[in-house]
Amino acid sequence: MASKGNLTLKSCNGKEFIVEEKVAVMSTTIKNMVDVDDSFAQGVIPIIGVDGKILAKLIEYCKEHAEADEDEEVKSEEYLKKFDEKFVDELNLNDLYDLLKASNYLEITKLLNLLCQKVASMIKGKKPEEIRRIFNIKNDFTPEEEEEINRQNPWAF
Amino acid sequence: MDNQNARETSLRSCALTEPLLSHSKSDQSLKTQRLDAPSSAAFIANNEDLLTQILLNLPPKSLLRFQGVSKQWLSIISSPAFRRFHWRRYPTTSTLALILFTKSNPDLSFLAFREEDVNSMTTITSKLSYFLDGEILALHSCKGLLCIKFYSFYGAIEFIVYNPTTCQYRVIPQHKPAKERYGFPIMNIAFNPLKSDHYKIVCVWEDLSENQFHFLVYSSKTRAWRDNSETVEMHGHPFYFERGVLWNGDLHWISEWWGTLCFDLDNECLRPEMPYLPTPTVHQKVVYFFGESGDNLYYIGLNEVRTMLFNVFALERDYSQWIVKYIVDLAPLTTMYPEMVAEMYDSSDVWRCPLDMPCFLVDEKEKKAMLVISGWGRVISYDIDNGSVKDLVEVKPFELFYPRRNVLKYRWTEVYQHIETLSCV
Repeated sequence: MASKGNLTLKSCNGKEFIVEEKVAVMSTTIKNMVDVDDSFAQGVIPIIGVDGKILAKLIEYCKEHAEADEDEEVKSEEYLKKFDEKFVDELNLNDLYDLLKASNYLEITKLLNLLCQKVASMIKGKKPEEIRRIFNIKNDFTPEEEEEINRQNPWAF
Repeated sequence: MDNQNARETSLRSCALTEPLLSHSKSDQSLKTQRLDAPSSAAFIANNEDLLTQILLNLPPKSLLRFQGVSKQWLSIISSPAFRRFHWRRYPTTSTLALILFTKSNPDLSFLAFREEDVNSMTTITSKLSYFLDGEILALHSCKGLLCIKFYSFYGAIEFIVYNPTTCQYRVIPQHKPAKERYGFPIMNIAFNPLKSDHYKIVCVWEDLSENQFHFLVYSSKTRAWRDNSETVEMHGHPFYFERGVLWNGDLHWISEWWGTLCFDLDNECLRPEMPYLPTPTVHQKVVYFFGESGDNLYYIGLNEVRTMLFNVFALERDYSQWIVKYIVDLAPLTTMYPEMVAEMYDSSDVWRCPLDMPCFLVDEKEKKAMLVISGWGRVISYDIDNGSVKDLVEVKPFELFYPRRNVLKYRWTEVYQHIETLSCV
């Protein structure tokens, strides 16, 4: 296993970020790679499909949480909660989806849960047709099937 | 395993639909442009794992509505595995409500602590009245499922298990014990979605000729009754069989005289030894509350007669003893609500407690405990840590509870904690 040094992450548009290993291994995917193969720790790790802007966001999040994991007294649970809230509130919709996709790839579980909660809170009160529009989903029910679903759960609408 | 193989293994394990990471120690100019995928929103919707993660964070009300989005969404949301996970993951305290039930006015009312997350219960009960033609005779509830005993429109007594969140119901067939002279059956539903998708119903029958109570068990897994020979002998001071409490995997009843009775649900038999209720004198043996919250079994009794000091006991998990968890002084309430002082003595000047405690809720994680108190025409919540009081609802006298003469018996039986759940009946 590599020494606790720095790792270089490279975004799909060529931006390089030097991050502490403890920050990078918040990603289970990166951790598995570094654990298995020392050479990853010395080279550049390209993060395909994630651009510089999103990667910077990911690193910002992981930095806060990695430091908190190391020393609970420096960053209280309350501080992290506030950080998380601010972090997701400042995201625009595209970044939110891109970040969600990237944190799923990179298996950053905490961030993934946070973003899933955010998406859930955004769609909570919506109607099915609005949901279809948001996620570009085709309505594959027949009118009869749709009526049957509405009939079964009239209070939910 | 050499490095090359190890790398490939790790690459395979992380790749979902496209390779994400590649090792470029030797190849710095690797083509890393973004793949021409559909928009991220559509990607998320098409990735069932990710979609499931998001849906697990939604309240039951939204999920029921979202079944109409597409066949994929319907299939995820209606699958038993999803519903079980949802129970574990979704913070159920946020959809907390109380079910208030009165036999004198056989209607179910719901009291939601956070209105916005709970369905409008009036429509739910109207759906219930669609097939519940007659009077509701009894109600028992566990983790969001209700077991309702009612008169059917043709005058027979029927039982249903009903999920008011999904409006699903199932008629439970009746099964009498082999002996002849029996009283009316008392149904208790036991459901723990963390352990099983299935529920059990324990039916207590009183043997009128032998002062015995007989226990029959229905399982939703087999959809059948099991008539085992388990009986308990009882002379007077019976247990409150209408109000069994599921805790520690088993069903419990309380009696001011006999203490508690525990029915082992796995082995379908009674547990032999249970500790007595920890109240020193007969006078104080009034059960103000008996129920489960935050995975503890609680019993509330008076600390001292003629005071407003109460002991909250919790039963040790090994059933060895009841231990005092909290001592609550409700005397400040008499200053806040002078109306209740008038109720502290009855016509023959005997002291009585002017309030009922239909519900006690503990949030172990938040380290908060709350008593729901009713009386003098209102229902309030009382935070036992800081003594803060919140008015929940004003009620007409006796609308929620029995007239005074029965109040001891029914002080906690008619309110259930209700949790919205997608569990199937």
